[in-house]
Amino acid sequence: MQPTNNIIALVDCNSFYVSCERLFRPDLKRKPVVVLSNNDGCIISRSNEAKQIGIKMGEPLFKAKPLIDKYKVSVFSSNYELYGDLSRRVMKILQQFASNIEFYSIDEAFLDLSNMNMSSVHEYIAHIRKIILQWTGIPVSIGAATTKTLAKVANHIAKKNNIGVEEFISKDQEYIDQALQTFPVEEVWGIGRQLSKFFRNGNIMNAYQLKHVDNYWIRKNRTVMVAKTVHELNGISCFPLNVIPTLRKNCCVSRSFGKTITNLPDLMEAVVNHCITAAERIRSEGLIAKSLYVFIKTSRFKSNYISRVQQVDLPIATNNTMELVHAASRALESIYVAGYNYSKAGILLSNLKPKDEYADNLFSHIRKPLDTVMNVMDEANNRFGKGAITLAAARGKHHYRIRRGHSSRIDTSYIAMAPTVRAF
Amino acid sequence: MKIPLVLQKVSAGFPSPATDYVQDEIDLNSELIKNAPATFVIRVQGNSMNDHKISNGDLLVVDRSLHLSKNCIAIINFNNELVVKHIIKQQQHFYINHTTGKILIDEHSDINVWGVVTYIIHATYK
Repeated sequence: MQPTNNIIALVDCNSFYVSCERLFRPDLKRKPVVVLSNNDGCIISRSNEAKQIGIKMGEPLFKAKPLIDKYKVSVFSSNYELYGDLSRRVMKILQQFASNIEFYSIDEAFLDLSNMNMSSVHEYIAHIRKIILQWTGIPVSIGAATTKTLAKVANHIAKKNNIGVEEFISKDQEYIDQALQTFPVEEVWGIGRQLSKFFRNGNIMNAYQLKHVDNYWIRKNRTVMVAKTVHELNGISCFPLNVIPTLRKNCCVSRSFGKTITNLPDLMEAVVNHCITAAERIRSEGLIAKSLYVFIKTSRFKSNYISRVQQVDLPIATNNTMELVHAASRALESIYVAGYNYSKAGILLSNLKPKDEYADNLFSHIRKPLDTVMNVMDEANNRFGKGAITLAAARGKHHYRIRRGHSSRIDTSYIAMAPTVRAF
Repeated sequence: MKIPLVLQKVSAGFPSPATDYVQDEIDLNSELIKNAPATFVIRVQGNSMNDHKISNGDLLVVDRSLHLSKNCIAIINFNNELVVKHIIKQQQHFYINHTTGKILIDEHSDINVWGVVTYIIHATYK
């Protein structure tokens, strides 16, 4: 196999959620900031200052409390409306710089820059970085190399140097190997904790050593995926860009409750709302569901733990909120047991397929008006804000609502929640 | 927001001939927002900018991709607070007027540009 002439750039937003919260709060610059997971449970994003004082990724809030109090760390509940909008802006800008893009996660994307002149890659990625920072206020790091795995390594280096970009395209092999030597094996893309243990036991401590591991031996002892990772470190591309998003098979919406719920009506309200969200999501992706699961559970950490689930096979695959809510309600009634403090409920729509795959059937004429109702609902909710039109069953006391005690309450995609500035 | 743009006035009494002349829709988004990923809509608090036709509660269309120009209005990071300010230009430098006199806007100081205001949306009927 010959090394390839690909140029792949990985764009990664720095401490993304924290950077979003800082956009309208310049006072938080150079201060320790953390963002919490749903229900204010764990720390899921940290500013560099928060990392430096020893706050750990994924740590529960209560555990980090002493450090947070001592260093006056600013704490935010996650505000996914804001993060989603800023992510869309960053991705939209990237589309102006490359035609083939893999949107890898909310804050990461791979760009195909293969047509570029090798000597201008550095300047180009530095320019992309500058534009994203100016237009959106979000700092990103960009690493470019001949494979995704090497681009990840370059990106790690870009995160630590002070210019925010690094490329292995115009550099010689010696330079790249030196970088790989200082790169711990567990940080290599696709090498998890278990694998790095295995390699460390075999005295393979860094990416450079991993690169020179015998491929036959790897294949015999580990998986083909690991063998591919080794190839990629050698500059042979094995993981092409996934430009077309793969259609998903499932759509799950579930949340832990702000406080536990015991009665059926409150539980029903939560399940109905999750079902509406899930139905909206699959409609926006042009999918329909053939079956659904409803599940409820109590806290695993308390006595009397129960977890119940009911599957429903729908007679006709659908993405219609009313049909799905009807099925989900019956399912919940069948699994509900009184006398428990439920902490979580959710719905999973599964066996998803593109809508037009299903031909018309006997009941099509009944379904058409129902689909029209859904279109009107989606249109109105887009225009007037989420939940402008919903089902009566979804309107209640919202006992199930998640805890968002520290939310910035800003949504840059919704006028009623627009950020404010002072006339001065 | 999309509003149908009708090219002829409608007279009452007989079937409207105007329906044949619906050409397109006014699209305020494309009119007010030239660079979508860089544009933010921000609400104003306070009346200190009334002289510059900005009132409490107005919405500002702010484009972060633009550079300051003479007599423009901008969102300024003023000692770690975002404020809306009128910008003056003197000898290639940009300043804001302040009670203590004019202050230089400098990327590397605590008084720097956040974005440039391109439109003020002011409700006249409430």
